[in-house]
Amino acid sequence: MESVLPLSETHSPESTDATAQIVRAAAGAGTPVYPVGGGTASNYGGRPTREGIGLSFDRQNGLVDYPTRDLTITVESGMTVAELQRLTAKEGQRLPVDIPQAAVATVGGAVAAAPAGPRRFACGTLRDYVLGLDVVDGTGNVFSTGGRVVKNAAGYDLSRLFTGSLGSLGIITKVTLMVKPIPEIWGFHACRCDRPERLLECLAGTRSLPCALEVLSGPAWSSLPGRPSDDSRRPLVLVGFEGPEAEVGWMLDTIEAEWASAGASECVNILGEDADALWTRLCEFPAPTPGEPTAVVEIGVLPNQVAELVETLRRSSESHSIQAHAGNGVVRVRRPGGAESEIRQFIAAARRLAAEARGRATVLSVPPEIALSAEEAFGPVGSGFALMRRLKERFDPKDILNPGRMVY
Amino acid sequence: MASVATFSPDVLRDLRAVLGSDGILSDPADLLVYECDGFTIQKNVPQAVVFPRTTDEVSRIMKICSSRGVPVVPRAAGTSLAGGCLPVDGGVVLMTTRMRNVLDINLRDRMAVVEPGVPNVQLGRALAGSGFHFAPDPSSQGASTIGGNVATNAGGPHTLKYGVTGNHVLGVEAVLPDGEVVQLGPVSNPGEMDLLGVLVGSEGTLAIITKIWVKLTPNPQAYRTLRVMFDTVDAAGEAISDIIGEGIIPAAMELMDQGIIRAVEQAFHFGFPLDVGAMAVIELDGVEADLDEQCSRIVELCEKHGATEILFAADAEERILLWKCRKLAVGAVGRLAPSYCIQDGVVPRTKLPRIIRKVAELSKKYDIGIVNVAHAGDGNVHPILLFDERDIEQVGRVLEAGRELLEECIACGGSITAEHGIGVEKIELMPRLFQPRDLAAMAAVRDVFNPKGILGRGKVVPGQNGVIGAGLHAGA
Repeated sequence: MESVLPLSETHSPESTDATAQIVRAAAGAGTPVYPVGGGTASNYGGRPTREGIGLSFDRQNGLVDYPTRDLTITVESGMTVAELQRLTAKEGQRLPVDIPQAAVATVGGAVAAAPAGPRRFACGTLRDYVLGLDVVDGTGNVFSTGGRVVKNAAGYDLSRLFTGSLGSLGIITKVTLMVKPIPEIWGFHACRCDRPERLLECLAGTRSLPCALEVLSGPAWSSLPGRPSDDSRRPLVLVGFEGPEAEVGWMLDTIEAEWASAGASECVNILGEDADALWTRLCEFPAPTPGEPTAVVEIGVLPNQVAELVETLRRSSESHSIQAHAGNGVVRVRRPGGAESEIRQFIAAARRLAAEARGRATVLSVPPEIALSAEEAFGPVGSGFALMRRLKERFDPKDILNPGRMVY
Repeated sequence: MASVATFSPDVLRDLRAVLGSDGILSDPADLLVYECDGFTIQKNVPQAVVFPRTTDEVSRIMKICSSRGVPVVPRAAGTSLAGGCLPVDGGVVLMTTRMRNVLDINLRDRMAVVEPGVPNVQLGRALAGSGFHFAPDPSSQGASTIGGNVATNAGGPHTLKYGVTGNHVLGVEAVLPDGEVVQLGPVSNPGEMDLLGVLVGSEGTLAIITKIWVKLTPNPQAYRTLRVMFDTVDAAGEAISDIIGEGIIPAAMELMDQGIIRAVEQAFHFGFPLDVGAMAVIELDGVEADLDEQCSRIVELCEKHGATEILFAADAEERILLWKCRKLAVGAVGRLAPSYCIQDGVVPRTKLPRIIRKVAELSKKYDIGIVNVAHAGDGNVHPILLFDERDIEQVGRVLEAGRELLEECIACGGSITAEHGIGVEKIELMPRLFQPRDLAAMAAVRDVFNPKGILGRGKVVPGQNGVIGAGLHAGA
């Protein structure tokens, strides 16, 4: 993957200590250090401008410990998410978090960027699964956060601080995760409708237990796996279930009955290979397609605001595709690449909409030729900004770790 | 009174101006109540206790105290078993008990907004009949507050399936030690680091939480609740380990040993055999459609490990009865000894049999009666050490036994606390669990939030302002 990071050279340390040595030297010289996992989040956050050293984790990609009956696993950062899923699947276990581009994305990179997909509704996000980390901070100090047990009230949960902080406070070299059993089957109930709000309201009192609750719209969803293309102008409401077969079967029947009494028609169940394919599409939605420049913005609001926001976004352009995690208040808009001015207008419009809804807009990715500042990517400062600045000053006083990507 | 802080009269005057005279206690007779919490071994009296009603009042109190160097300790129900509410250096105890409104229940969004002083059980009552509940159910929930639950990242029997408090907090409003008010969440904001996650479990040493957005969980459609008797604790532990290993995650798996079963039987006459080695309460919840299948697999595994009796709750009433014997367990301990100490340790779940065997060894070695209750599915043990606090020599043995147990937890790859927190109780053990560099990282975070060391002094992270742990006692 082509890197947009300004790298003069790349190193591939073999261990945490080797990583720390490089960082210490870089801190002394004031040289930026850019950890590079699979490169899948390179266009996320502010575009760094200061040339520096790339750190690859392809020599720190091994399994450290996997006591399977403890349902925990410790790996080095450079292991791909796909490899993690392969190892755990052999034991009937998984990390139940949707991480795009798993074949390339690394576990360490995923923890640093903390993406989340549809399963967040029932399963939570990476923050709920990281039990401990090994970290190298911006002075080359090495330390560990958390531990290896699923309940741990000893001290501050600093794993939370480094998860999702885009490598700005420290470089993650090892990750201990909680894993869960793989469900027996999964499936979806899907419905095209003009007014998703009616179905979402009905879902508020459902007797079923969805693992995902999606409102989808636009060209990316004009057809579903295994189904012929249908009217893409009508949004799709999708409810996902996973669990024992008897349970999923009961839930699909239940939701069908509940929605029927709410006036839904044209509903289908999606199971088996079609369901697998649909999960992949849902998970990969925010990822750029090779050869097709895109921009993706994510808006965070309250769940009850999702339907209206989706409707507003739909009406603003037919070429936009939308994925909303309706139960979590997360709405993603994806548009094809275009002139820089168009993309910037798109971002500004999303930001305005978010502000009107008292939410937040975050740019997840832009075409590589567009360079945003951290402020442009993440929006105006929030309540915790001063704390973030002070944390940055403590853990990376020389501002060498991913400078300009998150803290500004 | 061994109080270290300077507390000039104008501090009291300024606090009174914010709160009114009925919002502050300063009479020594009144202050005695606040000298300790559930951790009664260490005591120290504060110089004032304040009762704010609003976030603004909390902020103004913190500004006054912060600018004068007066230490502050937040407190709600005072159920901490680790001395989390101990006013180590005297100063002000900031009570959140007058901030006890459920501000909003939003079933559509599956969230509620509460003030920190709302007792966990009060939120439960407010949700009764709604089809939803707040999942964290620590044993203290009858008194402990949501604010306290967040501060300690409280657990309980249902963490096995539902996680701990931190998995159910969507947002907080908090007052920093310097009086600044921050709001973190509830709306998703990837550009903000997970400061909320750092505050959860920080035991009142980083900020005072003044509002909480909590996630609501749909009530299960159905339950299967079993009580299983085993000849030995080992057998019970192995069965529980096997169940998890099979990929079944029950809602709860609780373990009680012979000592505590006897106490419960003598107190409440459930009809338990007094020679049974161990008892497990196992609960599945979910939709009716699959519960019988999962249940029969659990029964198979229990029988494989020699279960001598398996009893099912036939209806909601029997389910409550089955749980009663677990929920009353700690209450029954009072008849076994004048004093007791509930320890809290955690190991990787497969090491549970080993740690329980260790507890039995320690009981013999130190000649202390120890009975066991455990959130077995999580590897979280609560050995209850029995003693008479008037016997100083025995108290010494209790503390030694507790320490050796926690060292064994560390040796097993576990932690020195799963739920109760570090407080002052375990602060001296932090260097046993963490390397100096790990503690330095925690100290750095504390210094960012709490640079003057005003809030929650002497707790959680060692080495603050020269105060390491607390050994102060009321009386000069």
